[in-house]
Amino acid sequence: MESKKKFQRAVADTFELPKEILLDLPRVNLVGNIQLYIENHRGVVEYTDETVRISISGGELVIQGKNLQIKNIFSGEIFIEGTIHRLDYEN
Amino acid sequence: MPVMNVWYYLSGYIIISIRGKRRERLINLAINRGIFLRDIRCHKETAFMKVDIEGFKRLRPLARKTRCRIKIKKKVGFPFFIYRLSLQKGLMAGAFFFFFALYIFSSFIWFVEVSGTEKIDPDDVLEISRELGLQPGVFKENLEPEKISRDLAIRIPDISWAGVEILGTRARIQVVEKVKELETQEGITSHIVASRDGLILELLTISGQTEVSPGETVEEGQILIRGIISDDEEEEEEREEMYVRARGNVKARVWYEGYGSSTLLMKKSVPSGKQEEGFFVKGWGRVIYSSGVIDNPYEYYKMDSIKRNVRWRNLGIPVELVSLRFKELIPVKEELTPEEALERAKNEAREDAMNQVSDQADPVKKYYEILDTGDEQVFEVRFVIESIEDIGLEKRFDPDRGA
Repeated sequence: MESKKKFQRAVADTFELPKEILLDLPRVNLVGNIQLYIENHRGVVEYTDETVRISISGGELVIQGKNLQIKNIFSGEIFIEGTIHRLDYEN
Repeated sequence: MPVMNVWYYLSGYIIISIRGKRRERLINLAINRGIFLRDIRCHKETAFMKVDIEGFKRLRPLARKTRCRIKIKKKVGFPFFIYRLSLQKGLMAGAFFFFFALYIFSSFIWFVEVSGTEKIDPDDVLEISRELGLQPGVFKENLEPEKISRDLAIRIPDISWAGVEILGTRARIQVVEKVKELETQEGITSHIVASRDGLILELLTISGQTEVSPGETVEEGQILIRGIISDDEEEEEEREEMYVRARGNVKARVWYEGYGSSTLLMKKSVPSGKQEEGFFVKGWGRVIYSSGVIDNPYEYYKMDSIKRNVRWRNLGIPVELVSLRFKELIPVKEELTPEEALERAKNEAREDAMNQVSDQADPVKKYYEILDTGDEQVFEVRFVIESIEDIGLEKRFDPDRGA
């Protein structure tokens, strides 16, 4: 399994392919500390106005801040607005 | 995005609140089923969000599954607005009645107005249009404006054209009266000739055949616009001629010249103050009675005479009453300086020129010219007024006799 991941990464590096597609990683777009746009997520694990936990491949993305609200949500895409203080990756 | 907001409003959405421990699970389920959730915000244990109408229906079973409680907070959008309206039957009936009445009332003619009349009484036009079926209170659909305007023109002999226009609930009858003068002018044939010598500047021909072109000098009486139109292309024998009344505007530069002369030695007569008076009656070729001085007693004199005819009622008697007055004059010789003489000549020349200038003339240039007389004692001056004016003059001709 580990060797497969390594191979994929090597392929992506060699051919300069976008890693989020090949490696199934989320693409996170952060505009200052007010907007967050995540592609390729796997659902909301926890949601309050101070913490949003989003499931991604290989772990969770924890967003902490104030007045967090989910502006839009589709399968695979999420758009969060509010005041973002921290962004943590947890395995 | 305002555009999206309009779309959301038109399609309608519901603001709901979700309570329950497994709210996140509900959200995940919802998005996996393609339910579109917007503006999710959290307040303590409750999450608020917006969902469209179709999505809300599908959300209900999911909520049951995740044991969340869904409450509707607000229904926003056009579909709900319509629904609420439909509940108020009285209002709907009123609105419907209003539009219906508006439609009915606007399909009648309410006002008829007449424009364009000058000599004809507008009421006469209204009266006749009423007979033709156009009057306030008439149903608009049954009107035929073309037919009415045609009939109006036939029924009223003094108008040459009538137009009926329907503007909403207003009918406007526009009338053009016949111009009678135009008809009497028919049959006149004329040329436009130059009223004086000049240099043509502008030429505007309204009817007729132009004979001269700008830049040409013309003489008084020369034809500028011919009232005979002939086709030059055709053969001489077959040439067809048309006789018209020539009309046009001919602007030309014209010159007015005035002359004045003066000598250094001027002869003048001054009254001496002496005078004699006389009176005589003349009848049947003879002097019947005389008193005072009736023959000239002076060498230089000026005589005033007043004649009166004797009349008795309507009968004229061939007898004249004449009173005479002789005034003695003394000839005086006046010596002028050359400047004075020149001034005098100039004044004379200017007056002479001014007397010739017509009213409509537009003087553009005035100048003096001192003429060489070859005699130092005599001065001659020409005063020229240059002006631009219309020199066109209509001159009639009889087409039967040719130009």
